[in-house]
Amino acid sequence: MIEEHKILAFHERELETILSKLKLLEKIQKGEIKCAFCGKSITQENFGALLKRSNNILVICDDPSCIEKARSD
Amino acid sequence: MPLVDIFQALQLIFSGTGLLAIALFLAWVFYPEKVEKWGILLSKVVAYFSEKHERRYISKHIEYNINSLRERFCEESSDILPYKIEVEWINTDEIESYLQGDNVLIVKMKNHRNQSKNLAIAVKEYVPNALIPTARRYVEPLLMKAIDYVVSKEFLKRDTSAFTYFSDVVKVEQNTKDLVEKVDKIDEQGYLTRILLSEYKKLGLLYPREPTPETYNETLELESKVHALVTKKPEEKVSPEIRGKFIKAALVPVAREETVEKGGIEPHLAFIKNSINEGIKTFYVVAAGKTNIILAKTVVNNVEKETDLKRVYEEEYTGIFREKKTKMYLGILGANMKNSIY
Repeated sequence: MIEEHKILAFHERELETILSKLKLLEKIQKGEIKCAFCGKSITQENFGALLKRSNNILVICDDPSCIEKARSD
Repeated sequence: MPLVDIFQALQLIFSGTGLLAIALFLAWVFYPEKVEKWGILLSKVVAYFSEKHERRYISKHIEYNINSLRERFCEESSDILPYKIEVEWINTDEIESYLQGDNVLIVKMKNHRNQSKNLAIAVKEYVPNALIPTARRYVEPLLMKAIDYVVSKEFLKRDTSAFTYFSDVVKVEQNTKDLVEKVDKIDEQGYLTRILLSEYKKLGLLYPREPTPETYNETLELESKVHALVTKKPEEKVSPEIRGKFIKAALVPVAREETVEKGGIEPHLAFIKNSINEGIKTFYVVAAGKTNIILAKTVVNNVEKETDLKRVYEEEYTGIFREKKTKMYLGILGANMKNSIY
């Protein structure tokens, strides 16, 4: 039996709901959130992923290099 | 069974729906990959009208593209990608519960019209998790990064827009640029999976030891030797062995000019026998072009007859050799050393 590597995902149309639940929506709308890896300002359009690390929720942009860093750093 | 029931069953089987069902069943039995592909295409069409099918299309397309190529990689070197990929859609009402653990990553998938971007992101998430997962910490970090990049590119090559997006967006960092170019050259001849990753994956047996500069240096040395082999000029000689603490391997290129000059395959056999005595455990016998392949196979056969080494892998495939598509050969000879890192 081959093991599986799961990618947890949500659809972009659910982004607002998720951001509201995590109380991040307003901050993103105000441009207050930066990508944890490249420092780019996060918008709803370039939002890439959420990363939970050491009790912090980090926001990552949609640059594949930043997604890779979330996995390999 | 009453005769009427049998008649009705036959009627159903030979009706339009019955025949279609049988045809689909047979297609699924004999061509599962094609049926999966048709299913994905069908989901793509329906995705415009249904959110459920859009999600299905996004996840199945990613899973099909990555898992089918994963199989090919594992045929070239078993277990280098031990995990399949699966896309799990989270329940957004319970987002907090998914974020309970540490290092949890939840990715936003774009609309299916941007599926190439979804695929590129999934590949970037998958490769650093799945490629030689227990051994990768022992490979020199910048070299591992370069390998991840080249393998990710391979995953995306079949989808032109995903590949273009990836090439445009993912910039190779300056410190890995040279290594990416070298690994790319090695990959062109099919030796990235068959030689480099085959050797590196063995380092997983060192786990849970901490990586040391020694393991890093040996991984770099192997990469450097394989690169020298793939870029060497016909008359140029390259040092074919690594006698490290963790990597003990030799590359044995079999070429007509050299073989004929030196009087047959004897020098190759002598080299292998001598290297066995010096502690080399694995031999990669390589050749390009029809005649050289015949000679290389003869070398492998004779070594098997005359030593304790066994042929653990053999393949003829097409690679890029001196800028031309060429028939290539690789035979791996190894001692039986399950669960040993020397």
